[in-house]
Amino acid sequence: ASKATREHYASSSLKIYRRVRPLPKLNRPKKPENLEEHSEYAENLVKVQMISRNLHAQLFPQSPRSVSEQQVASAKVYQDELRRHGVDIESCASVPDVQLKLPPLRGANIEEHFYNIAKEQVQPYEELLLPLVQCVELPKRPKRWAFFAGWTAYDPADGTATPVDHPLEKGLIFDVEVCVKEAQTPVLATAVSTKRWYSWVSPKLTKHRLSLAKSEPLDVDTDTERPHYSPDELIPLGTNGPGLVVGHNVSYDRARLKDQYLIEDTGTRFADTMSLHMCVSGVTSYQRAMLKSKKEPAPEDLGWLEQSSLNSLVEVHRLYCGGEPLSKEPRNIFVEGTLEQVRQSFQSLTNYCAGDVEATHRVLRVLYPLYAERFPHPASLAGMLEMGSAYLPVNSNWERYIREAHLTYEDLSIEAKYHLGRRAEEACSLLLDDQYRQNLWLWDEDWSVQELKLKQPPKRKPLPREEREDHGDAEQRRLQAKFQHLYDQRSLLPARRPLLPGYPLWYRKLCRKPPSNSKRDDELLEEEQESWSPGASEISTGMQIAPKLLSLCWEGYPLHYEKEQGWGFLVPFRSDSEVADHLPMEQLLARCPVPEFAKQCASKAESDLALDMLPGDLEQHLGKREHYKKLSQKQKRLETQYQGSGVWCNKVLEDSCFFLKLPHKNGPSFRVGNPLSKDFLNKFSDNVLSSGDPSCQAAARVIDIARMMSYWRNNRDRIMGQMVVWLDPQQLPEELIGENAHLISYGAICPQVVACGTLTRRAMEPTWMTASNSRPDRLGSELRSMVQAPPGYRLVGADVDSQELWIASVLGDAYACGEHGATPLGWMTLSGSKSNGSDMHSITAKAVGISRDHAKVINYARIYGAGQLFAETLLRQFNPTFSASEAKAKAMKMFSITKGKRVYRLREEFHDELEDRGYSSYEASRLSVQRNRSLTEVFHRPSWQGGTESAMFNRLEEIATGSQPQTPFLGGRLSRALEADGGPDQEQRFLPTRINWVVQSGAVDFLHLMLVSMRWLMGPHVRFCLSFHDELRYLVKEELSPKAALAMHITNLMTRSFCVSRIGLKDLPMSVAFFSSVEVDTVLRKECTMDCKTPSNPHGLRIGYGIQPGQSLSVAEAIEKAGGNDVSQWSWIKQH
Amino acid sequence: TQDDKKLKLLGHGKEYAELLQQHWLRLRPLAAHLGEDTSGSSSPSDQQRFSFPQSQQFQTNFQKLLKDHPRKAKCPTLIKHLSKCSSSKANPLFVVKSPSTLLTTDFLVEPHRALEHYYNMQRESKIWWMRLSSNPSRFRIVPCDLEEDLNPKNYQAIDIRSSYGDAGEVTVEELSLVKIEDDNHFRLTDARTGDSVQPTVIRSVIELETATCALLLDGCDHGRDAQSLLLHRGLAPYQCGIACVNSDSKLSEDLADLCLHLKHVINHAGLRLCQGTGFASPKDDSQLSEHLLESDMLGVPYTLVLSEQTLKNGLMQLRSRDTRLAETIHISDVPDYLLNIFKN
Repeated sequence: ASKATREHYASSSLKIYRRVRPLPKLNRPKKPENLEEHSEYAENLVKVQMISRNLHAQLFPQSPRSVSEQQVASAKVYQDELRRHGVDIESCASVPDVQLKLPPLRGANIEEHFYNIAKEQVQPYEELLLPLVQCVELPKRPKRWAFFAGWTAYDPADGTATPVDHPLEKGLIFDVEVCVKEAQTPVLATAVSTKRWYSWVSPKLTKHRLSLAKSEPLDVDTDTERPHYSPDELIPLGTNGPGLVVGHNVSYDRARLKDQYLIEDTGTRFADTMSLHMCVSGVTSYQRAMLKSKKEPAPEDLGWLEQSSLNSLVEVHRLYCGGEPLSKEPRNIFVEGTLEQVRQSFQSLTNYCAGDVEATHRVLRVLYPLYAERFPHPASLAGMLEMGSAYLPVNSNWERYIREAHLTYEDLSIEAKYHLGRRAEEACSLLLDDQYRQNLWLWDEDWSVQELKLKQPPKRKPLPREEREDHGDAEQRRLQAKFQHLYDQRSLLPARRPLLPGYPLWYRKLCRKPPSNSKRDDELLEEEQESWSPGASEISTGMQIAPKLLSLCWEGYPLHYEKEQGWGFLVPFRSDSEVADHLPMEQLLARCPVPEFAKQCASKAESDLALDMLPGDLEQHLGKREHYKKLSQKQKRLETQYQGSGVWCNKVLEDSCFFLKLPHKNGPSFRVGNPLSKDFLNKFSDNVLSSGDPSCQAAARVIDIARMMSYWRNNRDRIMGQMVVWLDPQQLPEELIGENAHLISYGAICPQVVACGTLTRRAMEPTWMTASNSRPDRLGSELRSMVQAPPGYRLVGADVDSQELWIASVLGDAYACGEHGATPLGWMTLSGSKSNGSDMHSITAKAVGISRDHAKVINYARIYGAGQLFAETLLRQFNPTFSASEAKAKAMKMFSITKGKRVYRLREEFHDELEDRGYSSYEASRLSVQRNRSLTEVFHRPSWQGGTESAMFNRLEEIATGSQPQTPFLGGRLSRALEADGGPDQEQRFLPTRINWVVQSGAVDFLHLMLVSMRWLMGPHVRFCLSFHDELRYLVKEELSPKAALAMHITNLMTRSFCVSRIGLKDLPMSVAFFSSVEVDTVLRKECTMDCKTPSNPHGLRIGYGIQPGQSLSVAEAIEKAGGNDVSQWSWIKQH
Repeated sequence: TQDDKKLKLLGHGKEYAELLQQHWLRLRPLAAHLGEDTSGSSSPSDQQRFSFPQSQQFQTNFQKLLKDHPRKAKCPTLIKHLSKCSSSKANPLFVVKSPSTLLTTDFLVEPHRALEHYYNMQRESKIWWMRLSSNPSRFRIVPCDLEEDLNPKNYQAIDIRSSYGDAGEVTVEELSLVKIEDDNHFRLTDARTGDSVQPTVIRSVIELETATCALLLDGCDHGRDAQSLLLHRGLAPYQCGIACVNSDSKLSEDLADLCLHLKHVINHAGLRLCQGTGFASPKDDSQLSEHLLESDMLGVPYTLVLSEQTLKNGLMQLRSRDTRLAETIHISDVPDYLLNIFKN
């Protein structure tokens, strides 16, 4: 996009096509012939439709639309460039204009507006927080803690203890302790304000028996194993907000506060020192591993190591405060001890808890000013506080969901186990005549058999008599006596009876010892006896034997397990079967003849190859980075000729076969521990992994089952461990106490969200943030839809359409052209459509010759910072028929048309000797070598040119390589751990991370802005539920839900307007101005019509749970349902 | 022709059916068992699937529940009963000679949780069938289409079907949910809230003879090389056989005595021994193999194999139909070890 760059940077440009008085009416169906209809219509220089005129006038009051001669001229350049990349700017269809009366901006422009409303929103909390930050010395800790149930306040002067209902001040530093083995509920807590100390003690601790009437769960079938929490077990903090609680990982403490579970928000917010720490000094996963490792750090790592730490309070305290390390020893009683032990050490444990509160305060004093300096915009803090107040309403269906998932899981595991058990039983018979030696999968199992032998009888003494009950007639008694001597030999049996003498060892390992009859009376064993069953009862798909019993093959070769390398497969290279001792070569060759690529190697012996490989192996061992691995000539040749996806690992078995590892998703150096794990389950459909035994239909079914079960298996502990607090009927709002109130219980989960949990300040939470969308083959994946609004309420929310892509592309547009959609990427993002093939993924797919879906994955990978090599790997993974060179060529082509070419420009001092033009990296390095200078001395930083995304990458790299990178929208700084100056080497090392940070952290800014805007538009009438990345959900009273939906649309409009304004654009394209739809629904799901059928919810939500589909409202529908387009008249807004 | 497909259960099969019926009684053990309904045979029809609450038999049963089992007469509760039926439903594989026995379970549940109970019961029933089968993947739940005028809130029906590849499927159990129309005769106390409610009924019907044939077929329809009849060890009419390899005639009398002795012990323990003389006595290993093959085809899960050695030290082989291997056990392990095996 060449020369038309900087001059236009900050100016917006627009053509106004018709100037007709805007109609007061809104949203009439568009009639193209009607001139009046176009009065609101606007498009820019590259024919991207812009927001309607009335909206522009309200959002950018200081920047009326106009267009200069110069802009018209540069527009030609953009249009040519777009055309060159296959973009037809005439192809785009317009959308109906929207007329809205927004409440007046709070300030002169949109930027001031957001600053002011965010400031206003955080103000009450800042007023509570800052005194704590500024407090040099906390009140003196009381000498003795009162052992009273509930809250106790301590007089700052003499320590007198007074029982109180809840702390008197609203700004607190707070810490809760839990007796982990007993329950998830709190046992004690301490808090301090600037005025005095408080302690809270659970009635469970003060009284040996809980005096509270045990509330009977409403649900008769409720699994008694699972705890049923009631609000009375939790800590009250008062319901009249605003209040502010500071803590380290405070969401854990929040989940133990009683008032947080009420449907009405109490106005208390939580400041998390751990999140603040992540913002200021967060680390990448690589850095985290370095921090955890005990090894001596490399010199290049010293810089950032001083600037960061792990997240625990001890480490964070060490980083910011230094001094004596905190002692965490008393904690063990909370982790492992009983309530009785806590009781005994009550004073010291409460002191420990108070010690953590003091440490949190010391951290806060240092950390908060750092945070405030690095994140100057009030929306960052406002967003963080809001994110920390997530709330998920549930009802009796939650318990039902867990029961159904559990039953289904049992159902499926019986089936899988049964198939595997049957295969194992059948395999046993291979022991007869040593047939197992010919079995391609089971030949290397341990087939040894134990004998049951009697001991030598004692020489002189007779054997003790084995008493038997006498029964039956005379004949039977005679026989009993006749064989009594055989029974007596029981005493000669070994004391420890071998299990299943006569069966092979591998099978015996799958069986359990039968319950011993001698201990029959022992009650403890009764359960064990009940559950014992003969046969391979311990077998599961997770076992090493399972893939073998199913006779699995990879690319047609039998799977094989090697301890060192994990799972792989056998490829023969010898066509004679004599050499092998154990390997069933005859059978292997019959199944898979020596492939062409392996033939050339047939004459070479194992040692030969190994010797050949030695230097490479050593290097791999010594050098830490894998890509420096050197390959032997031979291995290289083999690798290039072998077309499959197995990984060469220099392993030859019995001088007859190669052993190739299965590919691991994390890279070739990892070993695959279980081919039936979830990463491989999809391979079965590709026929890469299949059963080698055609008669074994079980394999396909077992794999299907494994696929269905994997989600629940991996998540059930977290899901069942969710702390659901069931509300007492008295605590419910009146609307809920209707006809069925006593039949359904209502409760809530306060998900333990770390408001800023990653380097890019994204929120983290292990269960809900990673929750998968419901899929028909995933047991339990209806999880999210079990978050259900109570009657009279709705869940309102939306996904930001291609959020990160838009952020990246608009950065490029603003930087290179100062015009929306003027770069090819920008245009495709704004106006491209899948239906006419003009979106980015279709265009790349067409240009490279791959499917759109594949192109999409690679496009995203590239924007997130992946390189060409990665794209190559992806391409081959998608399409195993691509040869290496083909994949390479395609990846190269793709990168050159998207990212473009790297171009170097001379520094000014060399303009005399060399022509001032773009040089390729090859030319550039040659020229600098000739001059005996380094590349950076002769040339400027290279830039990308000629690709659809070049502008974006140039802008991202420019931001990312700055000395103090800042997010584009809210000006937040990068973590100190990545900012630390380590020279150009370091810069390169963390460049992909930093680039990713620009986009992802920009998206976090975007989210925080949306939260602020929604709060402004809806005031106290919405309760924040949950947000994952680009998705936002609120709980709203039913009658206000259409207004909330409209507020969501307006939030999108205003947030995007703010963002573009910050990067110098004073207009907004219509296609991104509003959400494509806002969902108004009763449950949490991706789309309001999703029925969430899964193996555990086979009838779907509608039939199975009686849940009707929700509504999906476009902006026009939202205006209509919200009762008109005049938002400024909403009562709670008017008051301002 | 139709007649070729007509199946009649012989002794072995009848025994199996009897065992299956006992097993059914043990499922959902809290039910009030009302025994066999002798009032006459009926023929099942799809119409009856939803109209049964109006039937005389259902009303009698309900009164019986209130009268004979007052402690169980709370919602939710279960009633089991048996009845005869003149003809069985058609399936593509076979026809059972009439009359057949119907095993009926009526589950009376709180109306607001009816669907949940209904789905639970489906799963429970399917698991029950799966556990009895040689191939649990065979069973599936098939929803039945409702007539248009039936409100799905009040009426639901599914079949549990056992499938045999291309040959077709057999319905082994039918579950139907019916919400009773307002009727003050049918009211129960909700066990939880104490309110009086109009229960919703979920009815399960199993045709005993059809189910028996389906499970016997299942025992033959397995992909393995050996011709075994894979019957569930708990339901196999013969659970255990005795064979002694006897090549030395001097010892034959003692061995025969020992076999007889074991026969008594096993019979006394309540295990079902292969009938006839009580034991087989092959002369050599090849005869033994033949005998074992025959046992496999009869579906006998275990055979005790004795030899001359047994007379010296009491050690014998316990040979399994499924693994075709034998483990060594001691005479003093009989019958406790065997009882353990058959317990679950």
